[in-house]
Amino acid sequence: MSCCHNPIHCILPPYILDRMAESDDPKVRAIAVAAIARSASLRATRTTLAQMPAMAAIPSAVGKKERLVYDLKNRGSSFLPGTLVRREGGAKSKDPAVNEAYDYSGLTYDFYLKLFNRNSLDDRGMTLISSVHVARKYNNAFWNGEQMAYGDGDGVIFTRFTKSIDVVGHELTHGVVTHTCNLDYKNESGALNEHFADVFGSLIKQWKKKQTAAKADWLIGPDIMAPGAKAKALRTFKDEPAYTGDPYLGDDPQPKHLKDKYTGGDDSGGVHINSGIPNHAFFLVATTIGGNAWDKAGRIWYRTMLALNQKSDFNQMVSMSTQSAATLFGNNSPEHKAVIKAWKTVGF
Amino acid sequence: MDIRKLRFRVSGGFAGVIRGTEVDGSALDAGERRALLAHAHDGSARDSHARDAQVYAFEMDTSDGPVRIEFDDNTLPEDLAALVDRLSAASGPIKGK
Ligand SMILES: [Zn+2]
Repeated sequence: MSCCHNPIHCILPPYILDRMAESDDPKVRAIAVAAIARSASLRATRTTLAQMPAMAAIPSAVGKKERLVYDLKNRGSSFLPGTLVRREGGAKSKDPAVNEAYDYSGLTYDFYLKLFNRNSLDDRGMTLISSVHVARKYNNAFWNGEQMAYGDGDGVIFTRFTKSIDVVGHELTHGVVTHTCNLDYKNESGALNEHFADVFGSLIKQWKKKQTAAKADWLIGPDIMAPGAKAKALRTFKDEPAYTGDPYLGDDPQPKHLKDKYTGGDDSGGVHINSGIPNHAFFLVATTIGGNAWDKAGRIWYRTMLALNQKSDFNQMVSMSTQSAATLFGNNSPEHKAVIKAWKTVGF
Repeated sequence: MDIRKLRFRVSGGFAGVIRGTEVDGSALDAGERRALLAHAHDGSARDSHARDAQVYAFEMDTSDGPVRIEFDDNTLPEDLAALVDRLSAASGPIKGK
């Protein structure tokens, strides 16, 4: 005999719950998603939700900024999310990783809301879920399709991944990409996915620090490098390597021109490698236009991100960003010309 | 099936660094060999929703020919975790191919 412990799930058939989970009313969505989530085992639920981004977005019950931070206590990612240690409005923790995940995810939420009128990753108030202390001495951070997961680093090469605003902004922007153009995570479309994550990760940091394009460091991950690393950052938008001859990292593999594009199969077809090409183009656009990069270059790129699709490649990125610049600032405007020139400089 | 040579590569992750190492089959202990053979037909087992997960590739020269299997942080089988830790520690930066 089956026993239903969830009255809503008992009464409503799954397709109604699915439709409720996509409702514009945050209260309705919250009830539906909670009902669905309770109705199955964690793994089964995650599998179902992962197939439907609209459902995977656990909506905030209030439809505004809502953050949850979990401590995974050094267990593996199969145990995500872990133990809830801080929720929206909750007291500061003694653990810096918890506070960084909380503060920087809030900063990212504010950035997208104030500059682009975007209500969280899905534009429908999705709760921002972070887990810290993932695995042991884990030199990585990732977005699993539903939430952020941050390692502590080994203390030699990397320190905790929550320490860098641009890392947190990068991971959350993967969530924005998932809920917009949802670029396939391989080859050129995957490199564009990484590119948008780096661009907005960097812009969130510049916005927080009130830095103009001329003053910004244009580095990704400078705050997560530990004393044992020779490299001072993982990536740079500038036309120079971020590091060379690092005993752990080797040489920076990122090209800054199309002629040097990586064509091998590692890193899902070089998603973190070939992002260097559009990254450098964005840097050229932002520094040519001048002022705050988020004001104009950021707007052109945000509009472009919304206009692309799963299969978009570099050529579509070039034409769509050029078109976005013309739409926002006018044909032959300095901004439009800056975009055309930047893409030409990197080989398009 | 006998494993003669194992080439291990880690790529992806937030850092996007490619690292790897190569060991003779004789350098694998019985448990490691058993785990690899148990997953010899897994092919590319990747979580399509994960972004910035590290990718672990095992290329083996075996008595039955070449075998390649691939996992990421979210799909790595538990019985290969200790081997991944050991090979990761022995890996150095390499050029992507
Ligand atoms: Zn990424």
